[in-house]
Amino acid sequence: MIGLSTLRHLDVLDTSAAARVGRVDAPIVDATKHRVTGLLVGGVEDGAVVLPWDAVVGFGPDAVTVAGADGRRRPEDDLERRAVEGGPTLIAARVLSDAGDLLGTVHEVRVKPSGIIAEVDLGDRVVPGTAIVGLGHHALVVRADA
Amino acid sequence: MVTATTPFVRASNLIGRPVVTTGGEAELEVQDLVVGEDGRTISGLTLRRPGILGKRHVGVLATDDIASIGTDAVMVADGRSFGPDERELAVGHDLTGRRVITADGTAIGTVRDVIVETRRGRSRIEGVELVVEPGVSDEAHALLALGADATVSAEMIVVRAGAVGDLCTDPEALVGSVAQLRSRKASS
Repeated sequence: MIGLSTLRHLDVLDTSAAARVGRVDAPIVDATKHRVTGLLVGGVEDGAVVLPWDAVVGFGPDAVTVAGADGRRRPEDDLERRAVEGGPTLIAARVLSDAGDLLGTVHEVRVKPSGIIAEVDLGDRVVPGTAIVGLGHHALVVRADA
Repeated sequence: MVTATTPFVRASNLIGRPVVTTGGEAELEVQDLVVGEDGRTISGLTLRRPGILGKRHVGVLATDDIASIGTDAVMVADGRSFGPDERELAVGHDLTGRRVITADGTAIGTVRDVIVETRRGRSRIEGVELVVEPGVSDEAHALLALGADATVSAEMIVVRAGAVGDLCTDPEALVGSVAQLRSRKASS
């Protein structure tokens, strides 16, 4: 399981060239599908790029690794463009139930190697990833009955 | 997972509450309640948009379009848009300041807030908080369940005879009083 909070600011290394090619700025989250689809990579000369989740070879304690530069690309869809323009932040986001009750804030999000969000840790409780309804700038919304 | 919260809320506590889409965005907040012609049913909420230059009214959210009213937010479906609406014509039934008098002619007090039941599919004024008339109670302020037979006019609210005995200060007692009046109504 991968903790999303541990990825932020990690170097992205291209193992085929043994080169640092950027750093992780933020995960790109498709809340309706309960999954992380990629990483927003900054620290590159020509602006932020998207690293699709499937293109990542390894998630280590010191770096995220890719094999070659082919995986990185410009944002392609609304979700990715929104992330580049300043999308909602998942870690430390306030968490609301869809009944309108504040449940807490996101301490950690644990993701399966496939990118599926397994669980959202609020510190005093854990919400399954399947309970996620939406993620916006105001809050992460989860099902009240989860 | 979620702790059950009371479905009763003070209207004044709803004002300023964020209106959040299921997508997690919140650009608007509650400005006021829209009370229907009967003086009891909440037909909608007026909304405002906070901004640098103040808070600008944007329209009305009909009760039917509210997914849920929680302790921290009013939830609406993602993609819902708000604009000026003819239902705004129904605005103006603010109950605060009205006198509450029993059917046998005792003035109990003046409304300073209303208590709304916000259970899903039901938004209705079920009680009032009063500034109590001198001599009616030891308390300066008290809560009163209205009951189904309360009559609301532009001038006053007329409640059942003997309602003075139902004045309370504990919100839980108000909830009990509402339930008691409902069961009494159902059995009559």
